Amino acid sequence: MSGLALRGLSKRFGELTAVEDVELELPEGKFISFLGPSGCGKTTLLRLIAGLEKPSAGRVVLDGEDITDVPTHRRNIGMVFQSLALFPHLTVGENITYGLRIRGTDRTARRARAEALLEAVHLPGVAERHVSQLSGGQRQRVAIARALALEPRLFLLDEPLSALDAKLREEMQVELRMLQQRLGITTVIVTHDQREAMTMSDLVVVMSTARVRQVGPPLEIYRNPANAFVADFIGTSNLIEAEVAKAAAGDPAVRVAGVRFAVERLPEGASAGDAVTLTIRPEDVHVLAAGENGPNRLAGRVSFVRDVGVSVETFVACDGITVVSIASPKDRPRVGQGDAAVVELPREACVVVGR
Amino acid sequence: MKAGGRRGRLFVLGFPSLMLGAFFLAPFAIMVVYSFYHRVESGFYEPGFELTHYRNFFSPLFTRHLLISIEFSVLAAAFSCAIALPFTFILSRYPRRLQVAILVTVLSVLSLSEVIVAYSWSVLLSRPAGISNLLVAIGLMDRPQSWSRGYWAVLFGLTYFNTPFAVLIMFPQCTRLEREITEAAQTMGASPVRTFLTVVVPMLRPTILSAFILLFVFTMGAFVTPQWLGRPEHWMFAILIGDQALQRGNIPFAAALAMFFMVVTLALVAITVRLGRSQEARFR
Repeated sequence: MSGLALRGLSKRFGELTAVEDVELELPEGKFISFLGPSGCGKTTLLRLIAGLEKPSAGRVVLDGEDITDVPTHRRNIGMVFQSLALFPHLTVGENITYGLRIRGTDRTARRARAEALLEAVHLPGVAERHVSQLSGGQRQRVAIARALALEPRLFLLDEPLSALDAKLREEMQVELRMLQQRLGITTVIVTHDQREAMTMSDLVVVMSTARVRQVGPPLEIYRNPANAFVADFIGTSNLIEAEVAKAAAGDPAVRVAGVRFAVERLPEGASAGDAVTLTIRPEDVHVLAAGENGPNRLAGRVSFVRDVGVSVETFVACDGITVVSIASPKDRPRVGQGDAAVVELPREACVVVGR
Repeated sequence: MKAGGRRGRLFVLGFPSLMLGAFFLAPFAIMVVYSFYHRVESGFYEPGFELTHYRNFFSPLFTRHLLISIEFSVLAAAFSCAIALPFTFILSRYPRRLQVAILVTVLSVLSLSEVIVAYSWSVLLSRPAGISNLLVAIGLMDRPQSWSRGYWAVLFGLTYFNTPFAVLIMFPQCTRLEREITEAAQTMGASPVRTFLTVVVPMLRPTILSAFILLFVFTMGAFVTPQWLGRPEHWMFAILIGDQALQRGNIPFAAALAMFFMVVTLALVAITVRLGRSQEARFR
């Protein structure tokens, strides 16, 4: 099988478990993000793939070959570190061709390769310069070029963009994605920024407390979070406590504050009375004027309106639950702070996850 | 308040110059003056101005001892650096608590007097009670040998004494070298040894150079170790100076020798620094 497979991978540091029994198939040529809050084990997982940490249990398999016991320098990987880890005693060109020099490639071939790589990361003509003479964004590009110099089987990036300012970061995300698509190299990036993960990835691996919580394409994870953690972490989401309602088969529903809400489907194996979480994206919630009752609607009072121009956020308190709605200015709800209102949670937008 | 401020500033400016003046410049000036004094045969000296003493040391004896001093100092400093660098680098990758324990052990060697260290090695390198007996016992050697009192014994003793200093000088810079730097080299196919040679050593060049210079100067003044572990032909310059001053009572000549020795040492340091810089320039 081609691609990277992690089989029952665990890593413990003394008492602390950094990675717990991770089972993953990462297909060849895809862009994969490890997404999660800090301390969730995503960097350790990347370092296990790179061979910079020895797993406590489990195997790392690349293109069908077990590389668990292969030392880092024989794995043929390219890695961009969080600190970038450029060599301060070498020029830009020497940094990029360090791996080629180790392999014994001759000087002219090295120089040509350095130029080609600098071209690929849109930074031509700086090969002779010193690393200290470059800006943060330029160093970033040099680190990327260096990691790709040996045409590695795997391209690994550990929060490489976290030191850049917001605008440059977004540019680099797009550029990195385009570069990856052009080269078709299997790429794994570690990030805590869900927007970054959504922008670049074919596949997002959401992690928390040493475990993988969900794996899937970005939109699927956004639309169908597998659990409350994923729903909460992938962008703002309404997480509403609910219980499974008694219903005929083919007519799934939950109860929220005594009101029945029809939903598309229930978590597998859920039975009436089970505590669950109803998640819904703020942009899917409709806020209506008081009295416009109907199915999947809940009455409440507007507690706060945040109007930031491009969007309007309306907070509606309903019987101890606060539901947030985001609307574009033209769909602005016709209610103000303190008004009675009704929120509609459309059936097709409600995702029910286990608690 | 104002007066206090001025006094404070006077102290800040004055303290270093006072210390330097009283404990370095004044004795140095006295030495310079004495080195031109006239020696009286009965074993004393009287004021005067003559260059006799400066002429006297251009004899084969003193030149030979000067050269052996330089040779021992260069080699002992180089060996100490060569041993201390990998040791310190590996130490800096250890967990913090282990680092402290090992550093304390290394430092405890420094707390021993040079006399004790040199004497211990002279015993350990001797034939009747030395390490060679141990090697015979485990079958590595046929019969015990005497290693002490010889060129290699002196070099060994000096290196042994210098290495903890080299570790101390290199330790801070080694801990500052980011782990990700060496990891990056490994992701690009460099084995740990290759990484050490192509990344760690070049990045620590300034530290290595300053450790080398310090140990070189330090070893140039070695007195006890060459005397205990070497034959008279291995005696370093400090011993000759001591001999002139204490045994022969020729203070002016001892002063002249000391002056000359200092000039040679400083010249060699200057050359080393210059070489280090031009190497650096080539890097850029």
